[in-house]
Amino acid sequence: MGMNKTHRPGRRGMGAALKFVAFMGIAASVMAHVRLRYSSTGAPLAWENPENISLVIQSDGSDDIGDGSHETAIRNAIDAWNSASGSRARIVESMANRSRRDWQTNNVHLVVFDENNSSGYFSGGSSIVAITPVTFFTDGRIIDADVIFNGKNFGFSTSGEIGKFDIQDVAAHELGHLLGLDHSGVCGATMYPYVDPIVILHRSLALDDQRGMRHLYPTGSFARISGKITRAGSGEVVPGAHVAARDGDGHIAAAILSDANGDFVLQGLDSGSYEVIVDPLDQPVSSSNLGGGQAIYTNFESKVLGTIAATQGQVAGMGTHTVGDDVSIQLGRVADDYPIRGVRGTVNNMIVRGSGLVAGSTLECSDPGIAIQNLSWNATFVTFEAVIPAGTPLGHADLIVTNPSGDTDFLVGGIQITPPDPQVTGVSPALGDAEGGTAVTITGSNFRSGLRVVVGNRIYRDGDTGGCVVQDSSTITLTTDDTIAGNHDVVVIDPTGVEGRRTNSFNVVVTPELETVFPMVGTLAGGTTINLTGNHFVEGTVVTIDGAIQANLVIDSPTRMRVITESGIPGGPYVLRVESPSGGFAESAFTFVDAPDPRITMVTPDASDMSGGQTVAVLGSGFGDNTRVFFGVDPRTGVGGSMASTEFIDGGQVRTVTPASSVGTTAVMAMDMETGQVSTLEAGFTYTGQEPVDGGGGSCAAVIVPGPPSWKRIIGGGGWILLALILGVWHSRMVLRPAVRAGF
Amino acid sequence: MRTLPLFAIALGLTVGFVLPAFFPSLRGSSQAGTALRLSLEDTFERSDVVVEGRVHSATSGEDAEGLIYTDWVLRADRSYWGEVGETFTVRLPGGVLSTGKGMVVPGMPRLTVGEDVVLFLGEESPMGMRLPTGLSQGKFRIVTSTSGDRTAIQTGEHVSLITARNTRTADGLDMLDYADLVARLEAMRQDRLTREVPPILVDREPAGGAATGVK
Ligand SMILES: [Zn+2]
Repeated sequence: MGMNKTHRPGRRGMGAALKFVAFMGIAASVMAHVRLRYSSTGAPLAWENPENISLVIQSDGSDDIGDGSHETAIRNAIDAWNSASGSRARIVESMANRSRRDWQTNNVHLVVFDENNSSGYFSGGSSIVAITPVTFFTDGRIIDADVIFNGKNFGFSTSGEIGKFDIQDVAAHELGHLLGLDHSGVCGATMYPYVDPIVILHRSLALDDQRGMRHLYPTGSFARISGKITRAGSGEVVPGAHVAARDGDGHIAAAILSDANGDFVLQGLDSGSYEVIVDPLDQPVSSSNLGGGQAIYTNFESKVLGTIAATQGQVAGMGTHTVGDDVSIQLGRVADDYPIRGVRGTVNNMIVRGSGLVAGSTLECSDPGIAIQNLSWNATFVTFEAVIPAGTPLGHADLIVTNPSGDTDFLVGGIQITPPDPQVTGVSPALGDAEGGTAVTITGSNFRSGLRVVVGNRIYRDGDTGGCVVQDSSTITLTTDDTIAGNHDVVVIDPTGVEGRRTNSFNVVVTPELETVFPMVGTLAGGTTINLTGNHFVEGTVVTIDGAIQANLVIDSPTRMRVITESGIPGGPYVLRVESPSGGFAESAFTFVDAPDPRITMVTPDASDMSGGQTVAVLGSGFGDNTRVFFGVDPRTGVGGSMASTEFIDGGQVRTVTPASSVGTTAVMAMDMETGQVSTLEAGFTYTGQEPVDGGGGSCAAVIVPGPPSWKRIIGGGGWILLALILGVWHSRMVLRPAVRAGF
Repeated sequence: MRTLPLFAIALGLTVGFVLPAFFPSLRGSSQAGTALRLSLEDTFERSDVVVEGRVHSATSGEDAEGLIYTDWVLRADRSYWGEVGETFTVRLPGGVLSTGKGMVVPGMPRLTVGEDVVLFLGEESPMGMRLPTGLSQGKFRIVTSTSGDRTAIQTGEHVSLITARNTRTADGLDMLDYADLVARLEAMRQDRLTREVPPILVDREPAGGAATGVK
């Protein structure tokens, strides 16, 4: 490394802030924005083929998100970068390899939630919210980058839950690293290094972030502004000075760091007139937030360098500008949440921390349309109101503080001017088919062009084919795409990232499917537990038998539910209907008989050897001559198992001999073979013993010769229930329809 | 990489109830010194190892899964938490292999051979990594000013101090008198010793073989 340069103490010694001087020796050109670098040579890092950067959203998702909305949030973050004007970079989501978690491998670029520190980055009480390791070759080519969320130590949300981090906000930042950006000194930038729960303003890219993309991956030649920063008096160059350009609205249009020679080139600008400022990169962003490869000086004053016109494709030279020593006033601290949101058309209470914020100082906004009033100076913080007129252009503005001695400091891009939150007051219709095709009208206020609507796992972007249409500031229309089932929030996300949400306002319902109904017969007194399996059982599903609502319904999962029957009229089979909230339904059958259901309360003994032959008493009620006992059935479907020889003792007891079985605990079922009524005792009997062990090695060491099949096995699967029904229930009054019918 | 500012968390817990009613964005205190003290304590409490020393050497390697790391060998001057020997090897993610392949983790503080540091390190991961607590907040670089005073700063590796006066408490997150830092770490250590037994750390062999050193 080079020599340690020194600098004499400033004349304003009493107020001197941080006084640093850098080890020199890195002559790399520091261009617009802050790029990731190979620290030994300063070589900037970038993708060789940025037009197609493949990214895989790992399919396990986040433990905090059950509805797949994290994928939507990540896709929105991808979209933000892909939409940066003048950038060739495109992150392309790949649907292959979604189950892979080997982020270290270079041939797959993953977004993954690490819930158990499998990455090794989140040991103990880690304070890292998310991390993006970037793999490169020393010539600067990025060959891999993966985004790892710390699901172990932090909670994540897509719906603004208190204390959790917004996935889209965090993803937008991490994807900036993936693309080759380091942290930014612009407080309102997506690449600002710090994040707090619920912050969502980094979802939208600041111009500074977008200029970074124009610098790394330009589609053409943009306007540039060059210059050099030196120190007043000594003429020493100032490396790592934070230089920013304000546009005609006083908003930050681009920012850069000067290189080792004090030279800067603001890149990627549109044609226009710019006010150029310089500010030390001390607080709230400092060199500790940046990767290596460049020197950062902070011991100089903040200053307006001048105003200059820049033209497309040309470099406007500002020449050399000098800066004086550091001053005793400073605005911005890590403890503040940046950017500070200022809502158009409102008066915003704000606080900014710093040092030397004494009475008699002045505070202005770089946007001249924004008035600052009701100031209270408290040395280490200042409170004030920012009056933001309704017509204020959106973007990031600076705060400018000046003390009574005339010393000044800038908080670069510290205020983000946003529209008011969108408000969603109505969604019509409130119901749609999972296959899509539903025309939906969203009503509310503050809808702007360029917004996105999120419904379930689908994003509708204003103006896109298949997207949404902002008809006016209070109306959005869209036609749904195929969507996962569930009662979803309808979320309207403004291009600035602020959002409006109507919870549970669009119910996507699929037609339920029935696979098994067990049992299909029960006592007219009611109280029979029917187990239903199938698909798309959602909240609000209704089950009826012969039109009578079965109120006692428990939905265990989208594929399983249980009904305890109401009392019924003897007869049947009646239509058993499963109807979703939208009216889609599936049907099977159920029969009421005028006899109590059998009920097993106890099996004794409840364990014996797997070889079978054990005499067992089955105790309970409702047993009869036709009762038969089965071992090993699936208690939810009645499928499987073996019938045992059964001896009727009395209504409260039957005696049975266990059939042979494999080791394990199984269900015991008693069935009336005439009516089809059943009672099942889950985990009612345990087979003990030792399973035969394969001698090991041989591919066919043992062939198990099956015993003679039971009649149940012969007809296979659940069909025996049907057979039992047909045998026992002769008085069917209507055609049994075991085949499931569906409608909508 | 995104981190939570540690001292912001601590501040939010202790003084956040005073003013937020008027200023929802206010979570901290007007007392920057308080912020600094909380920050350092929080960083200390969250650390499994707090060690001071000179960075002696560095060797990069790649583990079986393809993660590139660097083993930084410290000549340990003292430890504030965790018993360490004369040398202590810290494995951090990132580095460059002799093949020209490298890995960088944005936000991770960097070490430089020859620099004097105080490191606050988290628990060791199954892969043997220890990440700095609070990332850049978990590394202090010790520098000597022109007057001979030693100062601890949290900053990038290419920066050294020449003067430091007067506003240091306000700018406390970045800068501390070295003597203050040592005294406070010692006090924290003694306080923590009443509640916990520090771990005894056996130094490991740094990566060897085909890997080359990083600078
Ligand atoms: Zn970051």
